[in-house]
Amino acid sequence: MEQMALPIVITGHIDHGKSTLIGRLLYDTGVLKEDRYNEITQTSTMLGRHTEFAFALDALEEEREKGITIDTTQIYFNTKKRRYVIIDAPGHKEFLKNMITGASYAEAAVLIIDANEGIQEQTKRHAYILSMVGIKDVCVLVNKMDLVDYSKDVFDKVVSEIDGFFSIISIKPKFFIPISALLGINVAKRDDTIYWYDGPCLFEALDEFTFKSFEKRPFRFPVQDVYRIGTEIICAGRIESGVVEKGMEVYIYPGDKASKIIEIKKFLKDNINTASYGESIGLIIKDGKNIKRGHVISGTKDMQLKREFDANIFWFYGEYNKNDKITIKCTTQESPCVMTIKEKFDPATMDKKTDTSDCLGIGEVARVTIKTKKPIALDTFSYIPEMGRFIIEKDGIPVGGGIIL
Amino acid sequence: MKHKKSKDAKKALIIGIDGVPYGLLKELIEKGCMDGLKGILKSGYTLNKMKASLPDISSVSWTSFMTGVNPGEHGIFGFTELKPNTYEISFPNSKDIKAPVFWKALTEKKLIKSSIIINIPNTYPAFPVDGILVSGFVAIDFDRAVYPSSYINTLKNMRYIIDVDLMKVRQDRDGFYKDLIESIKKRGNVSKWLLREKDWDLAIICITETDRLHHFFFKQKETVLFDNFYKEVDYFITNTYKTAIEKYGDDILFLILSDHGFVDLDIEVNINAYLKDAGILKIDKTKEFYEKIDNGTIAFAMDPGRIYINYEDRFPRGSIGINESDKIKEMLKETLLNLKDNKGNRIIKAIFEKQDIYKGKYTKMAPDLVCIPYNGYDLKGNLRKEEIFTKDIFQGMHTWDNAVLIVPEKTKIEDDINIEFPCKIIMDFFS
Amino acid sequence: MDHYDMLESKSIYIIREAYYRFRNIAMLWSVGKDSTTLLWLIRKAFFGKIPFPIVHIDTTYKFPEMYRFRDKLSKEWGFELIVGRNEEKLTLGMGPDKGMKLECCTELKTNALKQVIKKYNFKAIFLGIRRDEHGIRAKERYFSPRDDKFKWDYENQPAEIWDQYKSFLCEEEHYRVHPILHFTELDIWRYIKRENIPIVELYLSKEGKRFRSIGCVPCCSPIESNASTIDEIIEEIRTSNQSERAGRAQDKENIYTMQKLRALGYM
Repeated sequence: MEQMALPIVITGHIDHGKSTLIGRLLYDTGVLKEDRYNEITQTSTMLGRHTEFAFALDALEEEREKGITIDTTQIYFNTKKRRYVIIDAPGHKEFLKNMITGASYAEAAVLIIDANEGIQEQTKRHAYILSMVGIKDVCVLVNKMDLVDYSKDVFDKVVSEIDGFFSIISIKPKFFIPISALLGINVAKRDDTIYWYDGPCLFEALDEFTFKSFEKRPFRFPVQDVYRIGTEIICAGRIESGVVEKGMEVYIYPGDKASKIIEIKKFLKDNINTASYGESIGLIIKDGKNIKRGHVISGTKDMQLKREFDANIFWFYGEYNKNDKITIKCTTQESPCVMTIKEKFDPATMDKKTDTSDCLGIGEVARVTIKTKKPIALDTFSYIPEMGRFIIEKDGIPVGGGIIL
Repeated sequence: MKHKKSKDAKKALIIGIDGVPYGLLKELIEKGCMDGLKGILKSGYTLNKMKASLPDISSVSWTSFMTGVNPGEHGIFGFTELKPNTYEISFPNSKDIKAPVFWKALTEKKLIKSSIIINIPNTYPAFPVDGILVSGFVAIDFDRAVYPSSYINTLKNMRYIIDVDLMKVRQDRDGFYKDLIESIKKRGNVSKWLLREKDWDLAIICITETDRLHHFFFKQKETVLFDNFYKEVDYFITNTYKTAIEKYGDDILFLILSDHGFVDLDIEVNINAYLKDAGILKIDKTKEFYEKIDNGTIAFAMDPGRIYINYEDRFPRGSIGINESDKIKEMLKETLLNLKDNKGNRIIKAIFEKQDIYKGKYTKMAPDLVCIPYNGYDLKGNLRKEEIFTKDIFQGMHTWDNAVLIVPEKTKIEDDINIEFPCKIIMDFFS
Repeated sequence: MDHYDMLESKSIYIIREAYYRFRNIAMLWSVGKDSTTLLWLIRKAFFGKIPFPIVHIDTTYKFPEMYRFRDKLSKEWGFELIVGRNEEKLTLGMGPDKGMKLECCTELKTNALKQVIKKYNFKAIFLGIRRDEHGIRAKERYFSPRDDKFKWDYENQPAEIWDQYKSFLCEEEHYRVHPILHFTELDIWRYIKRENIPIVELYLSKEGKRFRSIGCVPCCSPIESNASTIDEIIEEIRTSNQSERAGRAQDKENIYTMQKLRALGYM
């Protein structure tokens, strides 16, 4: 029996215990998949100390040497309630763009903080990225409690610090949990060692996150391509939101022209009545002969068609200067655009930057206004995330990402 | 709070002190470093000398203690073994013990109900027991070293560790020494907790820090370093004993034993280098570990004084026929007895043939010869070293004939007891 | 949608994106189970059609069963088959026994492919590689640029975000597209079973042996196995994954034990 896995990202400062936590999760659920990674040859980590799994997650020689994870990998595990897939977002400054790639696939996030060290710059940055990519379900883990003698005072202090920071970026973490990833306290199950804490352990917290029912949202189908096979004109694409039914009324954006679903097509399947979120299918629509890639087939009339909109943007590669030629890509739509920086933030301190230059560098965050040459059919990120995310490309290379406000 | 036990309920507490030699313990007691133990002895116990197993290393010796039989019956002959019909190295563990441990028999006969078994070497992976079992070294994975698994987290939270970080001693001797003391304390805490909180009929608790201290610091045994350390050991013994008698009264059976003795290590003797020079061992340098043993080899050595004849029906590149056996053994004995240091002193004190020291169906797995060196010469079976005589940082070496056994004074002790004997005392007590 | 629907949908999305972005594209077909699965997915993506050529690099040393399978399938499924051979080196007698195997592979496979790409000016190639094949593959991206020398700069991987793939092209570069990166070996077999995808019979056991992977006859050895149906293969892989892991776990334990004993002066 296979089920869809809820993707989660584990973020936080580089040394605060992400890898150890992931290893602990995998170990506790009996999943540690050694056959996906190169052999653990760091036997010295096993001598005389508790087993460390940090090295289990490196898949490249170089990473092991540098002691950091460069890239993302997909790791699955199960709790009692559901299946999860972990995206391990690395914490090293140089690899921000890869980090963004990791964060983008997650529906919920775990932010890990070392109780001893408290919030670091990286912690704040990652928290900000979480809000940037619109992850609302956040669980904060205060780790290494064993090194602070499980002190409630230390825990409370860290919690109030992070809570204060998060409220500035409008995220309300759902849980704050004191843990020790190394000793497995409060990870898979609750532990009496931290007797003053009676909230859920990590697994219980994750199971409490509600998995948005994607099927109930409005139908959105960005057209990827159009194939003419025989006499049929088939719009190929993936359902990014909601459910489609044969005979359903739909609207084609741009233009909100009304139409109808004549047929849902899948290879080797006939008489398909319905298809839903995540499926790559074909659609034959009424009066569809002018449809092409970049159009969006919508089940409701509430998509917005805009040439100007506000967004939060995170820059992850290269530099942006005011008159750079950039392109925005939002699902299958793309258009040249210009960007005006309204406000810049230092993601570490959350201070508004006083420098009003129209440049952006790596790791910078800004509120911008984007003006596109072609109108873009979009939803705000909070309404339908898949239709409210975009990438900025410069010379064909992804350089920034953002969400539509 | 004294637990009322039914008048038939018998209780036994055994404390193991790995690698403590008879002479040293006697001296330390007389010196005044172990007043607790002195008091216990005075109250009705005797300190005796006892022989270890052959070879005299912990995994073999403790297994002989646990099973009450010799290696010919329990199948453990060393820390390292070669897989049958190969030169492939393997590391015997608890799963390879061929005879049952004595508490199993006692449990089956319903003579005991619950046992607490802590830190006996060669009990990894932890195997089922009515009660609790925590493995001693060599234990790789803590989660497989505890039975039942429900104790794992608590032990981790109590920061219990199975063995100290041995690599540390090379960089930080002070730190290492401190670690040893810490480790005894932690073991003491855990023992105290278990003995107090759980109901038990048999408790066996070993400390292995003594062996570690001796390996690396033995030449400092006259110093305050040892005095302080053994005060800690004394505290551990006394505390554990007190906890037990507070719970169940002082008519419990109480024993203390060690699994082998120690003596100053003057030099390491790499027997395989000697055998190679003598043309008895042929080496293929391109291979690893015991795969190095090449065609034409007559015999080779394994730690710590085991000699294996390269029989054709035992090893893939074996060439000695069974009919040559006597002749080869004679030649080997002569060659080995001729091994001398640079002052002309003999190194090998005695050589035993397997049938003289082992009995049982696993004798066929045993080494053909077992060598006992004179004090100071530590026999090594590695294939890495080219020189016969080498020296490392080790200050002490195991000895075979001066382990320790402390028993109630009315216990009948024969001459020449060895580590299979304590088991009999315990079995008799419960029967 | 179950797990395999998800894997499939993601692959189809990638295939369609690549087809849209690179006008001139082809698929490299080894006739093995992974690339045949990819071929199947391509059929699905385009509703039964395969709108670009399928390239088979023929070293001439392949199993006869593979050639038969190749020809049969290309007729049944109706696609354009391009067979690429390094004719020059073959006439010179290149083979695995002549010098090193690596040289043979380089000439008869890699260089043959280079020749085909050059001849047809393909801008991108579909490949059936999976992340779990070995360590370095775990870092492959869905869209992976290679330079002219077929090298892969793994450090400067283009970011992949929200399924927008880097489509930067320059003269010398061409793209490799890996739509089944996220399938594991077990996933492939289960998907083959679910979809009834045809495979070369060499994968199934005959006389106690079968091939876990197929290629050129002189360099391919079978494994001991009695798995003669796909179900049996699936079961075999499932349990061998477990024991491979157990074997590796045992190796780790042995290394640790050795270190420990050495630290005490043994060994």
